[in-house]
Amino acid sequence: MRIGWLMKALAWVVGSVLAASLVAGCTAAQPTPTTTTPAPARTVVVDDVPVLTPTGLGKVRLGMTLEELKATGEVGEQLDDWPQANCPVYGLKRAAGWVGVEDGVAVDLRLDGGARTPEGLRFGESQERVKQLYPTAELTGHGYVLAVAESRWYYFGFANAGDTLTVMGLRDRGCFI
Amino acid sequence: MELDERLRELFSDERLDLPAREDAVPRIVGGARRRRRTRSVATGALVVAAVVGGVVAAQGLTADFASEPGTSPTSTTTIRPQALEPPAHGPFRLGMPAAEVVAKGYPVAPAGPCAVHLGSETSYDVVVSPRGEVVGIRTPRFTRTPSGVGHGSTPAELRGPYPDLVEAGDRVTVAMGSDWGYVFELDQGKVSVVRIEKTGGGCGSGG
Repeated sequence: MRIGWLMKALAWVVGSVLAASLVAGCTAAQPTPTTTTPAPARTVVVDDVPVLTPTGLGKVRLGMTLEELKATGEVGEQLDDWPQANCPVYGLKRAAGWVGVEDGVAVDLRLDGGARTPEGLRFGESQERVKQLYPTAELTGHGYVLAVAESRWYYFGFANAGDTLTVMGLRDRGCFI
Repeated sequence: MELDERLRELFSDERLDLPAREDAVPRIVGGARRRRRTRSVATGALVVAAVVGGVVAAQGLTADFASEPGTSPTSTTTIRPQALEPPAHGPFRLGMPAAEVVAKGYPVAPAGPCAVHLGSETSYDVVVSPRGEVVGIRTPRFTRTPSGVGHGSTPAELRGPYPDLVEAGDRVTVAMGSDWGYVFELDQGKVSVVRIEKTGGGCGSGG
């Protein structure tokens, strides 16, 4: 009978829908095993920021004579607006800062912007960042000091008792206290 | 048999019942919660993407998603060093609570809807919004940004690290992110003052 066949079909449909709903709910409740892994991500800082190494900055090296410093093409004229420096100081061309000369050779590279260390310390970073990168650096009254060789030190300064790096340098002897 | 009676009979047929597990309810509820968390994470990711997008727009970051046959895709984000510069100088950071400013020894006084600390030229001016957060920092004389430009620089020299700067009269502005930037005040063509300001801080430039 047509009605009877229709009823059977309807019952099958209703049953299928109910079953599908419950199966779907149970499926969603199951933790779905995943075999995908996040895409590897990397961040690259694209810059040509000069790097202050334990030997110097660019072609400028501690220990160079003034003549050698001038020959690098990266050292400018003597600065007259640093009366507080106790050595003659000469402006740098590749970064903001100067190189101080004493007894005829470069003894102090002092920077206040536009450079970084090989380990990635940059101006504007925090004291915590210094301690993270250089755990053996010592905090003195003039900032952090880190021995990098016999009688040679990195120094990192935070002006106004602040938490943004404003000075970094390399010295055999200091031209600025 | 009437049709509605037949239907009633069909729906009451126990063969339509599917036996449910005893823990079906908590498992279904758990599944719904997991899906809700997934949606929340996805929403968070969109917010992060929007913020990163703001920085990208301001400082020229680019993001590439590359894959080679047989390898999983790798996302590479390239940034300029200026994107790492903080909205801060010395003891102050944009967004810092006013109470922290005062605790550092810089008292603030009401100035219109905002409050300010006015220091000497070798110290700081600090502007605090009506919400009680630092929205402006006038840095001490001789300040340079981490890129090495600032006091004494010409607009042309500023353009090196900040190519998208905007010159307007005696000031140059640089958008550094979606919500902050530098303001360089010029005196005879060279920078005399460096400010760090929150965009739309509500106090006007310089408080």
